[in-house]
Amino acid sequence: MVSLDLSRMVSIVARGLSIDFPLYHGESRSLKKVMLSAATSRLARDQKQRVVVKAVRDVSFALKAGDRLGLVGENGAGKTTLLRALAGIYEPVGGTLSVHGQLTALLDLNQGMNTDLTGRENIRLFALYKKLSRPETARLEEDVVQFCELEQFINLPVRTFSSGMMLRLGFALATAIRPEILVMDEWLLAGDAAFVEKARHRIESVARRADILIVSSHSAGVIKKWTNRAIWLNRGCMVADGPTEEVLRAYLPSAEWEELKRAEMESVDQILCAS
Amino acid sequence: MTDTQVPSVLIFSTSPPPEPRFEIRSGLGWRDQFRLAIADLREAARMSRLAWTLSVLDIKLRYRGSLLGPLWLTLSTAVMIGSIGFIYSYLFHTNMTTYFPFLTFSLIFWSFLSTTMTDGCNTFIQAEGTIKAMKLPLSLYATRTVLRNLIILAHNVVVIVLVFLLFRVPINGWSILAVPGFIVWLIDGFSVCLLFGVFCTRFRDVPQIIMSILQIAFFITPIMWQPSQIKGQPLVTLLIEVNPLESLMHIVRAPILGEPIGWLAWSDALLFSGLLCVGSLLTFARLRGRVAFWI
Repeated sequence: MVSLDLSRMVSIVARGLSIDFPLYHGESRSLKKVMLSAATSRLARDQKQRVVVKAVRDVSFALKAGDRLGLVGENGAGKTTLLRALAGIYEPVGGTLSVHGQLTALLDLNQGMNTDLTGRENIRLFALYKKLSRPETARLEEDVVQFCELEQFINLPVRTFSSGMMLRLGFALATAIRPEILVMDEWLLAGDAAFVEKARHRIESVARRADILIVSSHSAGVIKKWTNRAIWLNRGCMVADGPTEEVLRAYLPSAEWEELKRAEMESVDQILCAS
Repeated sequence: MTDTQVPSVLIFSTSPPPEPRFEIRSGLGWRDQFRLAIADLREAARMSRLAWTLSVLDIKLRYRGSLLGPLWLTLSTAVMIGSIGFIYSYLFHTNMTTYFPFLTFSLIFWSFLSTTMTDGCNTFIQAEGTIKAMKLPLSLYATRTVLRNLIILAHNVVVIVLVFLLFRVPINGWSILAVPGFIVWLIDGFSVCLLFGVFCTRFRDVPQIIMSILQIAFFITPIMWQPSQIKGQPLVTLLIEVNPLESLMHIVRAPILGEPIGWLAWSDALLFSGLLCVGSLLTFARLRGRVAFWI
């Protein structure tokens, strides 16, 4: 099915992707305990049965340029783990994953920021992480400072920021780069009301320019608005995969689904009235 | 090599999962795992500017808000060397003009070795936020740890220069032979950061074990005492000969202090470094993919 052309285009192909997440509690973190359990043979077999969360099980899909995929599912369904795997952070234990294209993952609020460094230093560091040239770095700095409206605070350690300010900076940084593939978690759409509006505008422009968008969210509204395809994950397994509308109808309790449709109609009405 | 402008290619290929065990077999053969590990190293080499910035920031942060800044490194070393030097040369009844330069050099270079090892344990733990946020070559963090310790060493070398001037230690052209020795150190340091970094991320009690071993190593390696002081004690002589850390110290120290270069020490040091590099590469190739889960 996968033609040669795909390899030259932006694409993501996952086949039978499985990820186990080992859970370490106090005991298995200790070398002594593990050595002891290895030395005493009969105990070993029991001890080695470490607790492993089967975070993602046999997930397959193929995305090409223009696809917008939404991941829905309850807390702990494996959405974030799957996103991390797609971003190349977690290596799968089974299956294959091939990603073609420059990818940015917006997973953590602080984007690897060092809170002891000042805002400006963090911006420069981020530019290095993303391998930007010096003029690009200067542009990034200007863009981020202007967007997050923290001119007065940008030379203070990020540690002194309020969580809202930190969110703004992290968001501004994360969305300053325009990737071919954008993988994002739901945190992006939190924040104070005034900022959310501004943020939405910015993320929409980034998402629109990305060739492939993968977003995971609890909010059916977000998924519905931004994606044309959805995968419903439950306990790491794919329950449904198809057009967003159909998957959401199956995923949401019927009352919520009705509400979502109604809200959508209202917003259309509002736009019509306004114009 | 792929350019950032052109879509870069990233392919993981693995086969069905085995039983959950410690040595997780992702199904990739050794060849593929090595290929990925080498790709990681190569990519980190291309990001050396980032590694440098990270290590400079590490140092800056440590001394931010202090009056003298990183100069504290130089100053505190000078104070330590001064006090230990006087007390020990009195206690050991040794000739201060040979003992003092020896002690200064050994102590400062030893602290480079030992802090690289103890910092090496935290190579990945320290970078938790970044490792979980974006895909970067893991060996980048090992480079960062080595560079950071190199910067600290550069501050302390000032003390060595001062002591050498004070005691008029003759430096001749042969001292240049310390350079290849030091290059071996840097390669070892990098390997240690990868090896210890991986193990300490998985087993959080390993750093304590390493610190205790280093504590012993500090006393059995000629740093505070000169090998010439214990001549004739077969046990101690044996201890010096089999101690790989002493061989490593020797290949850098001997050319600088104008001692005869022991080729046995060189072969020991190379053998030890070779084993270390192989062990570290095997470990890294095998467990690289697990680090993100362990953090």
